[in-house]
Amino acid sequence: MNLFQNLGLGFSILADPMVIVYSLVGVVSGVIIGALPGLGPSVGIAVLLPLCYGLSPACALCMLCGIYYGAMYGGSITAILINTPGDSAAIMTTLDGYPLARKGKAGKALGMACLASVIGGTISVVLFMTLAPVISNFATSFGPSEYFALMILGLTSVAGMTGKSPAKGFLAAFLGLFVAGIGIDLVFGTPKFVFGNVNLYSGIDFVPVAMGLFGIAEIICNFEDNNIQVDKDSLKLKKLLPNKEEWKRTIPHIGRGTILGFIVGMLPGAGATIASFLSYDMAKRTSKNKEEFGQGAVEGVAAPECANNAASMGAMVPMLTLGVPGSGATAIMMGALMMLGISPGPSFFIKNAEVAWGLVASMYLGNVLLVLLGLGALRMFVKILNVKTTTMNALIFAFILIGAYALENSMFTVGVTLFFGILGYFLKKLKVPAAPMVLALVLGAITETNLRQALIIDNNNFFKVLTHPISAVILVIAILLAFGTPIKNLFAKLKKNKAKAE
Amino acid sequence: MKLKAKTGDLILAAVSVIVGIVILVLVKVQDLPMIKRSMMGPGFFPTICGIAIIFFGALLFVETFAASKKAKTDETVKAEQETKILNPRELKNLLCFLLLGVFVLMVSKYLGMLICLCLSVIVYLIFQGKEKWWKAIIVGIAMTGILYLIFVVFLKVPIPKGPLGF
Repeated sequence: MNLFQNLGLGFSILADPMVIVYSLVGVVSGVIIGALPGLGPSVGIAVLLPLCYGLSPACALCMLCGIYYGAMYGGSITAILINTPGDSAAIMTTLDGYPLARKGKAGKALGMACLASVIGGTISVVLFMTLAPVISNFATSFGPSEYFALMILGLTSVAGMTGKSPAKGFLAAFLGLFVAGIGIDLVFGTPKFVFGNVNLYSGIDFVPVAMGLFGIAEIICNFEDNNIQVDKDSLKLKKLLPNKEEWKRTIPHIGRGTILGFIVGMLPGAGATIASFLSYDMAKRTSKNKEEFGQGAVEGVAAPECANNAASMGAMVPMLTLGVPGSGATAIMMGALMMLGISPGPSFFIKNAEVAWGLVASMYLGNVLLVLLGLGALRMFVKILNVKTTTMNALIFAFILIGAYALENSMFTVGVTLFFGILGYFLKKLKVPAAPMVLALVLGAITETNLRQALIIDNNNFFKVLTHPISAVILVIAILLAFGTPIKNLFAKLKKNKAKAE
Repeated sequence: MKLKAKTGDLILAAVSVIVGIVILVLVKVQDLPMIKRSMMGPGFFPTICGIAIIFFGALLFVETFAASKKAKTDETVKAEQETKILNPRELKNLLCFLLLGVFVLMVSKYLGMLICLCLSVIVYLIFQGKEKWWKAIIVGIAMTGILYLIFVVFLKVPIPKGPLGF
């Protein structure tokens, strides 16, 4: 089948009104959660995961994607209106978005953020649907040893998620890997760390862990009210749309930012925040109106917004084609897919063609919904965001607990969620990132299975497993990702010392 | 609580080393060999995790001490290390969620999960949200209604029912 036939297959799935309804639910909830300061796409997906139970994979996937890119745009609403980014990917939007709002051009900034997000998202869907099948086809020849190497690559990508201390990131990853190992050993049937508790025999699912680490831990720290005050007139459709001159100024930056964002998004561990930083910087360097940056330049809003949405699409490429999520949000999405009985990886586009192309089609739908809601329902979002944070917290808390129960119809999962929520709070305070833990929890079982299979194929020769040509290349990349920065720092220090001595 | 970032990091490092050691001891106690019948055994991954957790815990000790040394000459590092990481309001929120969560966990099978969640929301809104009691009750009941529609009517989740039948 060619590209257009595949796309036709994808759009035929959208004929199901429920897919559209779930996509809409996803985008609306994504925008609201993304706009709440501190709560980003990872929290949105983790909290709303229970809604996927019993849904068809197409509906669930469309909803999750809707949350993802809805949250990416949502972050910009509070960034522009109250100078508080909803999530880290919207930090750069505050630099010019808020000054624009202070000049009475809040509508203009919000409109530009929405349109740039949609344009960035739509172009990257085109890039996604051209690139993803090619990578999938290449990766179909992969065996267990290559898969094992890919999983290691995914796990070492945590180095990019760790902030100042990689040790904390790896600590979280290995804790996650340990938790993933709890339960019955799949080959020997030996119980591992279950202490006679029957609930632990089937292992600890990633969903209550993610809901605790991302959901409960976040609402514990979240109690500042938004108090958004905005002139209603500035949110009228006419005022939201950019004029000809503004389009002329921003289009080249949107184009460049989108491509940059998509590429950065594909890199494991890089993500939407770095993409928006780089895109803003590139726009500032290449703009004819450099002096306006920081004072309220529309390009300063458009460039990071298109890049963060493009990055969220880019991050789907390694997750869906190789089974390697590069961020917390995609790790949760991958876990959700596995929960629905779908294994992301090279065979995803072959074995689950309908779901895969349905997802591509839903991305187009999601972008249309985003522009309709972003421009048409902005007043409603502002009203919702003015609801007291404690009320929102109470709702999210109740939603998480009942959602955790719904996972296995057991109070045990509620307990697990609470436990990881409290643990997540302390980890957050100690600046230990939660994403590597969830990533390791999702990848743990697959990594173990692939290593076992690879060892059986290679007569239990560990060295042979590591030296398959493709595995070796992937492992070298993984090592560079994990130890690249410390090695670079060491060389820089040695060079500095040498220069001092001379 | 006046816990500084530096002390927090040292506690984290110590706890990590202890957790790693406990994992290795458990691997031994539960008889989980690394290699079994010349194949990768059930203890392979846990052993690696235990060792890695000890290693990164120790590394964190080194990093923290190195930062302390640097803090003597660098004001930014010093400020980072002296930052207080726990906020009393957050701790109150944490305690509130913990107590309400335990309440839902323990009492749901007697009162029903929805009633417990409704009570939790009301209590949270009165104590943490400083809402008037009648407002908290309205919000609590409305939220419970939404949860009932989503999870019981729509998703058909068999949640624990109470004496009122829901």
